[in-house]
Amino acid sequence: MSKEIDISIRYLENVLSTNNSTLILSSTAAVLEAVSKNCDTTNGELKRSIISLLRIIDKKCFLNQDVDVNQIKFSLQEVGKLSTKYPKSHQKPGNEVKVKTNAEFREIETVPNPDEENIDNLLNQLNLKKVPSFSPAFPDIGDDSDDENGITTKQKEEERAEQHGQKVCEEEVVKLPDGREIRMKKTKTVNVKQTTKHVTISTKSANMPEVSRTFMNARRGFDEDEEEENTNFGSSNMRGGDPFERFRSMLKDKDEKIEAIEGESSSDPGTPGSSSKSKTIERTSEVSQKVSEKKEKDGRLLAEHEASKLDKSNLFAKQVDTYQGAALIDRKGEGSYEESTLVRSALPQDSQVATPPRMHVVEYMMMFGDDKKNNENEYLKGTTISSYVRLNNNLTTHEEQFKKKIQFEFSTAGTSSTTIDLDNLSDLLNQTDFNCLRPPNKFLEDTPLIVEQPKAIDWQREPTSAPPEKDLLLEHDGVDYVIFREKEGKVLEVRGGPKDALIVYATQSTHSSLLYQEAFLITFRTFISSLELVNKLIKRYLYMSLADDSQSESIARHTFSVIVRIIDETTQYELDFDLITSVTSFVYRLIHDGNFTYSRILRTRLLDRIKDSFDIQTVLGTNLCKPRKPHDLFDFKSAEIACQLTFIDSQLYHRIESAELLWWAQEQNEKKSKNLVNFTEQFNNLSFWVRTLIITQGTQKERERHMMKFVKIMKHLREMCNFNSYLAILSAIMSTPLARLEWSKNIKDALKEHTAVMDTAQSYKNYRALLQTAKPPCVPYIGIILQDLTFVHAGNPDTIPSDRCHGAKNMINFLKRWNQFAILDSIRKLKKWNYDIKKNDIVVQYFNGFKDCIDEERTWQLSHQIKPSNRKSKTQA
Amino acid sequence: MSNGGKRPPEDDSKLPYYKLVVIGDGGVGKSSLTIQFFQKQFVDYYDPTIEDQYIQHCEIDGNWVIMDVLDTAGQEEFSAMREQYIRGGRGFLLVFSVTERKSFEEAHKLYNQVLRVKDRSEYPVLLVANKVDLINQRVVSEQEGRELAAQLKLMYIETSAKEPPVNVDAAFHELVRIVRSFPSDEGDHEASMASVPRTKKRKDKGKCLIS
Repeated sequence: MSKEIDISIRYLENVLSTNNSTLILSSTAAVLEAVSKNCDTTNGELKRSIISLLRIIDKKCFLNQDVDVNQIKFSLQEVGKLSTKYPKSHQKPGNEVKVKTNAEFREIETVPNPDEENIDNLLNQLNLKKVPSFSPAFPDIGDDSDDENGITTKQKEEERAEQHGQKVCEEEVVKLPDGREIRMKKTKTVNVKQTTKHVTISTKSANMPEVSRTFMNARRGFDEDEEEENTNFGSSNMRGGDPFERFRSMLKDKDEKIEAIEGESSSDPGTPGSSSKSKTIERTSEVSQKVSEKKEKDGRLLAEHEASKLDKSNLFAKQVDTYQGAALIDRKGEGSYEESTLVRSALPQDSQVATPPRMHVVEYMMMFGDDKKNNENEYLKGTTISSYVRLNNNLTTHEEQFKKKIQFEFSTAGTSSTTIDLDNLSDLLNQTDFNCLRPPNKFLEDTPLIVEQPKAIDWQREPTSAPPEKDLLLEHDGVDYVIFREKEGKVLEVRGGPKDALIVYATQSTHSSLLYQEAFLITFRTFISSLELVNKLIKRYLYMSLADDSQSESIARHTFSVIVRIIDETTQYELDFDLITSVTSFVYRLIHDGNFTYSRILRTRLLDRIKDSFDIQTVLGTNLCKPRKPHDLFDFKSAEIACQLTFIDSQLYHRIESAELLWWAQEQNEKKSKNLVNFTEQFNNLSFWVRTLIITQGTQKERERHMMKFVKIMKHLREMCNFNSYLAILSAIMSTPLARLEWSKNIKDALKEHTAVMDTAQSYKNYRALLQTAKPPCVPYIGIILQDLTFVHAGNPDTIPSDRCHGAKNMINFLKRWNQFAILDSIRKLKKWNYDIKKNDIVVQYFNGFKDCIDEERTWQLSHQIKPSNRKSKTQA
Repeated sequence: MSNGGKRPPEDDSKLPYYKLVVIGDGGVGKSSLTIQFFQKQFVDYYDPTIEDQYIQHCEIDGNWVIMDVLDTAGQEEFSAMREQYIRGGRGFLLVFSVTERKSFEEAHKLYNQVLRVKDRSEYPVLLVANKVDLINQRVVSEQEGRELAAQLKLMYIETSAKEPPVNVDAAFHELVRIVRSFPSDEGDHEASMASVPRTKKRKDKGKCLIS
């Protein structure tokens, strides 16, 4: 038996008793990986045993049903036996096999696969830029005087300050079956600072030649720090060694029992464990340059020019390797690189040209890395956003800002690769085997042929009748069944069509636009459920993967990637029994067909979604004890409070899925849009908390003091483009119980610039304009989005009227979806960026979830105590 | 009878400008009422983000007015923002659905909130019973609606936004009449900290004519 298989099987046997679903599923993935690497994956008997094992484990862990652990162990032993019986067919028998195996094993340890992506390779691709010298063009300071008397001085200053920092952190975590963890961490920090300044002074006086003197001043600083920590006692001599070796050594040192076990069998290294190795790199760079020129004559300033430039770049990258023993199971990583440039210069004094107001001149989004067709097991993808903003702070300063950000992630699905093997065609057609893989009823219900519908190319064109009993899902190209919008003979975007035609069109590699696929994936839930769509896509994949032409293979691959994408973006509400059953049964089918790669990818994604549960207390709660003396609002800086409010808002905002917004516009179901409800409640709670803090102050002076504090906080929030908390606090300050009271002129003036944002005229025209000019990262007020989506939903029909489709019915109106996509995409772009804010537990603890509020009735009572009501008569409540 | 030859006056800066707000519980069909009134349904393209979408010139009883309608459908759960809608409104369509008793009870609370925010004992509000086309699902009778209206001293109207629409334009026009009949209180204007001057020239944007 292969060592990897044995280790993974033993490990899985041990974790079964922990009842930890995540751990069991991860260990099962390791078994699947080991078997697919070391066994003859074409063998039907072996595949059936794996399917049997997965089925029973999925029943326990994915569907939370009671399962006899002994039954799992029996299936596991069966897999072990069969994997021994059917090793990789290319291996040779006898002693030579053992030698070769050892050689392969040693090679794996010492020479990692060079084709694999890793952080260092990725960093090379990013090609961090060097900041060139800043040479602004100043107007010539000509000598306009022929006066031979007097002294003319011309001075030029160039200053450059550079600061670079790098922090590399390597961490290893070894998890033992009994729950113990051994953790090692090494951190290295390097900081470099350098400043240079050049000053050139030229002096010219009567009857003497020009004299130039140059001064230079330079300073450098260097700082390095290294830190290493172990959370468990162990020999530090093992640094840099093979992680598995370290693992075994620790076990030998710490536990006599394991040593006894090892003594019994020299080939048994002991209880296997899993370990993960992560490497994190952070680099920051900042270059500040300043150039100024001035001319004086007899001590009188004739002209002066100044310009400055600030370049910043930040790189964050992380790679995590997961090992089972000495074998690399999985490798993945992610990161982002961001650079920005700010250029500021003075306008020429005689300039009459009025510069335009701030505007985004260039903004584009680019996807890269997705087209690797040769590496089905690996992917690298990222997004690039660039923007150029021209600003005018005042009449004399001209400012431009450039910004660019790259986000990336990469992963491998293991080093093995398998191809579709048609040798098992007879097994595939076997009725018994197929019945074992029967998908859930909802999937079967889709098997009947679609009711015949007329072929609809465009509602303006003459339709032709389709052949009877046609199944659109099995067509290579759905373009003939899609309705397009046409203008002057040119075909524009998709207008609509039958449900299946839209699905086929979203999964074909030709005749389809990426934008349409994106819009489809964002909005499909408005006309088909995720479960139904996944089932249709699976049907399409199975049909295409059976064919032997390259186009069908391409379509199958494309369809599979869409399935993966949908699973990736499944919401917690959608992860129910039926969807999980559909996906897991598809996995069994993939294994039956010998496609271990795809099955592993799909299982991993499904597991990630299930693990991705969110607890709001991780954002609003802290681990701190109660402070001896309660904190006060004025214990913290306004900027810090604004930062922590933005931290909370961005955490909650990024959890919201597009589907939740669409569902809310349709039916306002709180169970379906859980994350949206969290975000809404945060808005309300913050607003009521603020008004409570103000209205409960006993004196006018204190109320005004608190009011002014919140005005300052609002100012910071607006600068940070956090409009959610900004409007929440503003709605509190402008709430009637507070607004009706007397306030000083100072406060009224401070509020003037903010109240205009609240004006509801022309459906929040002022707020929309403010949002348009906001630079990301940004947290919008989500209520406007919901209002717009509600009106799109109510104002546009779900289907195209039949009189515009030559009598065809049930043609989905995709124009409505384009509208929804446009609204959602505008905020989806904002999600590409995020704030770099660390959680401050002291401030968050002070917030206390914003639940220290008095109710609305009490608020009104206090307000009327302070200032009686003007009402002529009391209305019955 | 409709006089097709008439158009809104060229200089609309002198026309009365009414900010009307459609309020009610979530799901009562407010947005459908508003869209039906602005006559945008079932055209190719309805874009709620265009700012002029909610401005309507209208001739009512021989006089032209400008209506700026705010409908916050979709935002109902943002209760902290509700007062801001109310503060800016001169008249309110108070909508409930005859198929949802909860929305009927909510309408009463919303009216109390309007009076509170306005600090008045009366205010231009029209009680609207919507979705009357759903006869079989009706749970709030017309009598109950009229009783509540009488209790609150409000006018009452029953509407449906489905084709063919029932009383949709009539509801908005009736609200304008109610607003006109109320005396203008200068204190209202002064109390608002969010007064923004209206631009003098405004594009002609649709028109409806009621004799």
